[in-house]
Amino acid sequence: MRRALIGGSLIAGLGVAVTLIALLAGGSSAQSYIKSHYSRIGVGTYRSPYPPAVVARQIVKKKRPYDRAYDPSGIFLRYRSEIVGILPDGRGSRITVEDPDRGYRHYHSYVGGRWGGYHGHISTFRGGGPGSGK
Amino acid sequence: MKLFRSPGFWIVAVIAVIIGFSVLPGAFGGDDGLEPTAQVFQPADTTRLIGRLSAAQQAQGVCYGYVVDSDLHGSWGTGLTDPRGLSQEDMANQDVQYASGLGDRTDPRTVPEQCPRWVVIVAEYDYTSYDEEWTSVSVRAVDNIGLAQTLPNGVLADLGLTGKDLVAPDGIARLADVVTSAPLLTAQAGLAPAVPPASGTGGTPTGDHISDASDAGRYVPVVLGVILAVAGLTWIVVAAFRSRRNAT
Repeated sequence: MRRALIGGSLIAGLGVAVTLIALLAGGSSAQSYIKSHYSRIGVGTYRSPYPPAVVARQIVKKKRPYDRAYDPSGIFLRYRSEIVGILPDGRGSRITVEDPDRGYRHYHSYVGGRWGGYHGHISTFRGGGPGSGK
Repeated sequence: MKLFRSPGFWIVAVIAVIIGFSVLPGAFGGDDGLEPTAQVFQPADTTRLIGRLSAAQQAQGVCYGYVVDSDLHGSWGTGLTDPRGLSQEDMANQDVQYASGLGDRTDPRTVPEQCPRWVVIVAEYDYTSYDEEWTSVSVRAVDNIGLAQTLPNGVLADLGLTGKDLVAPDGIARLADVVTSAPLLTAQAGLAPAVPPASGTGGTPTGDHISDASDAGRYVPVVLGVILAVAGLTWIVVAAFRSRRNAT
């Protein structure tokens, strides 16, 4: 009985740990981090005294996005439950947090074709295409 | 034979089989890296990059370009970071792709009258024909405006990226990110004004919507974790049941 108690507890504990890590890791949400680390200046809008590349680095380090897109005009991070836009604002940055559909429409000029497209079909920066492979 | 009657044995055996099935495909040719392609950037990618670099050039008065050596045919570029621009040999190299805001196969370093100020992102992949994959990549910003001096740890580190990110399955998108972030880094360093938002922001064509953020890759470890947890608890319950039965 003792062996089963120890062995079973170890296996069950390992299972719970694997499940939690899988559920919480990678692209879940950055909203709570952004709320607690940047100044709120409007609904879903925040400000940082740091430039976009620095802010993106800070957020990505804490909350790894599902996907991202860097553009000359700003940086965009895609999480499962929101899209984060980081745009230059004076010497700092303006950060927006929107649900995926709204964020995709808002920033379509930057992320259209990368994160979606006609019927959700992604058309750029996927590799492959004619002559792919060796 | 007593061993086979132990529930612990069967639970451990089932777990070993499950883990084996989830690990073996990777061990036998499963490849989770970036698949090498004849051209790193496809024509649609190039068009998009040129458009964004051109917009940045107009806004900042700085020409932006990129040079990518895929190393697929083993003919290394010789002077990709030369401030005078690509040599004729490099331009003819089938592994070398280059473009700028001025157009495809235009190196801003070679047209000083049009581009007195320029920044070029140079990426050099290492390809191993044995594994048929890119194993590493080095990325440098070459410029004549002082940008590289403001990036002591390199352009990748400043963006929170590593060489590994560029050979991951979505590595081409990350390389594109490095190329298109050069104007952001230039503005951040105070070497040019920020690029204003793109015109047309907010418009989405009919039928164009965001792709699914697939959770498929996450379900495998979740299912595995749940099976482990249930198996562990089952072992304890079965052992407790047997223990009670033996006691009576």
